[in-house]
This record gives sequence, C-alpha cells and structure tokens, in this order.
Amino acid sequence: MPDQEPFRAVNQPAFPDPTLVENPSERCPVVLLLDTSGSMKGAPIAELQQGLAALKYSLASDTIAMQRVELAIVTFGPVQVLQDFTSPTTFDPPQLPARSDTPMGAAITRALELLAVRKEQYRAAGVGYYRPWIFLITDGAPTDDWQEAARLVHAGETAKKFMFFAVAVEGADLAVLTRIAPPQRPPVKLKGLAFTTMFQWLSSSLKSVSRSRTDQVVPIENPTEGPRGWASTT
Amino acid sequence: MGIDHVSWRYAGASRIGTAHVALATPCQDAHAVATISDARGGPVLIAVVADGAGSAARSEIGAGLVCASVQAGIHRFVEAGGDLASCARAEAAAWLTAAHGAVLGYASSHDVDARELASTCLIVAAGPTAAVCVQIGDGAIVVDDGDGFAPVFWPQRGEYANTTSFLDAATIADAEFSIIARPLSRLAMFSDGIQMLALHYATRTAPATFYAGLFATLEAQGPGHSPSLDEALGHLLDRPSILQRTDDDRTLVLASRRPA
Repeated sequence: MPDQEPFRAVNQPAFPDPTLVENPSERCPVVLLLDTSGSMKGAPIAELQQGLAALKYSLASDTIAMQRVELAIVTFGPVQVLQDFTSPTTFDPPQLPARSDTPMGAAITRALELLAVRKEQYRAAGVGYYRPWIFLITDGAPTDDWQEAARLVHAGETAKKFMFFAVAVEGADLAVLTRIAPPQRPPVKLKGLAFTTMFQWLSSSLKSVSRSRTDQVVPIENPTEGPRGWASTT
Repeated sequence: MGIDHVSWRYAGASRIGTAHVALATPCQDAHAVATISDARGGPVLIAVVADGAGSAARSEIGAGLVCASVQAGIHRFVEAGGDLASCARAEAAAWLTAAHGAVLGYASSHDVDARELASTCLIVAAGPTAAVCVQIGDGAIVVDDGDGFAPVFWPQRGEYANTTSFLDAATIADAEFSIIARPLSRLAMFSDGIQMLALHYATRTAPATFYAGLFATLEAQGPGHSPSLDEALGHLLDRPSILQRTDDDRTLVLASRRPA
C-alpha cells in the first residue's frame, strides 16, 4: 500500500513496530531509490520491473535473507514511498509508474528519513541491524535542489550510517551523480538494461551480509568485473 | 499528589482493511476517546470502540452512533455526580440501551434495517479510583495497573472464527461488565483486526512485548491528546508487517496516566 501521507519529519512521534519482536533476527534494511520519471518509460521501466521480481524471488528463496533483509522503495517523481520496509517474503513488487520530473534531491532526503524511522523502530524493539543500503537508480538529472541531499549522503556515508550506491542508466547526468554519490563509492554505469543481473548481484551481496556479524565488513563482489559484472566505471 | 491526579495521555486510530478497500466499503470501525472531570475535579477517561459488522451494509454508521451515544451517556452519568466505583450493571445497560436506541432511530428515519447498522461495543470509563469496563462482541480491553498487561474480558466469539455478537436488544443482558476498583494507569482497546497480535490465544494473555514499546512512545509525550500521535498510530496500523496479518479494519486506542 503506497504511503500517501505528506512528508513526515523524523522528529514527529512514531510508534515502534510491535511485530518486530516476533522475529528478533538482525535486520538489513535496503532502500531502493528508483527514478520513475517520464524518460524511464518503455523498455527501461519494464526491465526495472522485471529486475524487482527477480530480486524478490532470489531473496525470498533464501531462508536467512528472507528473515533479515527488509526492502523499501522510494520512487521519484513525484517522491513517493511505494513500499515501506517489508520482508522479501511479503514484498510484492509494485507497479512502477513512469511519469513526471526527477526530484532526486527530495527523494534522497525522504529515503534517509524512512531509514531513520526504521532504525528507531529496530532500537525500540531491541532488534540489531546491519549497515543499511541505499540503492539509487536513475537515467536523468535532478530537477530539484540536490546539494543538501548530497551533503547528507556524504555525511552519512562518512559516519558509516549507511552505504550509498548510485547506478547510472544510459542518459543519466554523470557529472551531477558523481557529486551526489559519496567520493568513496563513485557511481557505476549500468550495462544496457541489465537490471536483472544487477538485482541478482544485490541479492547475493545481501545474502553474504545477512550471514555476517553486524559489526563485520563484508567484501562485496566488484560489479564492474567478471562475467557477472553488470556495470562499468564512469 | 497520587496517580489519580495525573492527566491522561491518549491516542487512537481506526484504519480500513485491505478487504474493505477491495470491496470499496468504508472503514467500519469507529472509536471515541475523551477526558472529562468528575464532580470533585478528578479526570475521567471515556473510551469507546465499535467494530461494525462486516456482513452489515451500513455498519460504519452504526459504529459511529454507538461510540457517540455511549460517550454521551457516561458523560451525563459522571456530570450528575455518578460514582464509577459503585456503578450498577443496570447503569451500563442503560448506556447500551440508549446507544441501541440511537441506532434504531437512525434505522427508522433512514428506512434501513437496524441489523444493517450492527456493531460490537467496548467501553471503558476510568475515573480517579475505579474503572467500569463493558464489552459486547470481539476485540478486547487490556489494562495494566502495575502487575502487567491483562485482558479484562476474553473476546466474545461465536462458534465460527468469523462470528461474534453485536449490540442489540437481546445481547445487552449478556454484555460483559466489570468494575476495576483501582485507579487504572494504562489501558489499550482494540477491534478484532489486531486481536491476533495483541492477545496470545493459547494462554489467554496479553503479551507485554506488544504493548511495551507502544506505551513507552505514548508516555514520552506530554499529557492530553495530540493529533500527531493519532496519525503516528494510524501509520503503525498501516505498516506492511501488520497488514500481512489481517485484511480487516483495525482500531487501536492507547491511554496512560503513568508519568514518563
């Protein structure tokens, strides 16, 4: 059910999720920040949609990952929480719209807030968590003010509050994306429309993370190398 | 200054179930919460939850009428100097009869069958020294007066999982009725939509894990009622983890006068 509420600030009260305590597994929250602007219409959005289905299938069939990974989707534009954090088993890949402009800055800010609320709920329930992942996928350039969002991304990445991945689809403004992505993890370019391969990589990375200790640094397979590579460096 | 003079803080939300969204029926749960002062200036919390019957076409109207009428009835009782500690069962029956009368009145003036307006009814009137609890149908009232959370009554169920009793002339006599002769400090009320989360069926208990975090959040707020907390509670009731357990409407009311 899409979140139709207006922008909800983190400092507003939020009740903890009482269902969290039923599964005390550590959680790995993942926010997919998906560009659904008009330029994604056609093949890109269809491939992205198929990739999401592959991601669900792969994570939900893994007994550890299905208990630990939580997926959320924020689309832009307009900025919308299409899916709040949920387990892969109950994640039903939503229909992605392709319309409107590209308010990437506001979408990033919304994703960071969603993450902050979820972390607060983990803490309230006494549930441990892994460093969250934010996965931005875009084929365009921000049509809003992105400087503040970039500052939050860099600060959060440096403070190890999350890991921010930026994936550029053909047509993306790489110059701006490079300034939004943290310097320690520059954006990568998606090969063609290899969304399914990309999400398979994301799934296998998350499976490794979900089998690690929460304080452990898990080596992640380089997405730009090998036969399973789905990206090239910019 | 004892606990009886600390003001209540409370929040409540009723949210539509996915089954009702699919059928394009409205949310058939209703709730009403208010605080008033008794003759001696002590705070009295009045909370009513009504779950309109899914099989009844206009039950959202009935549920709303029941909440408003019962709340008004208790208000009059307290205003007239009525003491909750010695409230007779017949008094509570009068609140229910008046609520049913409101439903019958609506039915006749709108030319609908009163059964199309059927709903359950959960009532708590919590004063400085005692609380009156009344229940017809499913859902539950859960209280904590320092010894942990416990349901006041177990949900009234019919033979089958989807049947329960509703407020009408015949069920008023069978209503659950109890006076808790202590100052209540915490209370939760909910419709059957979240019963499976808020109650443990095998042991007929209320799992503290469900309530602890909710009350911690409520008690971190200032006294009184804040709409943003209602909104936060509604947001919680719409979380995927809760929606995956039920397709029914969900109502949750939380109230506490335990200082943070």
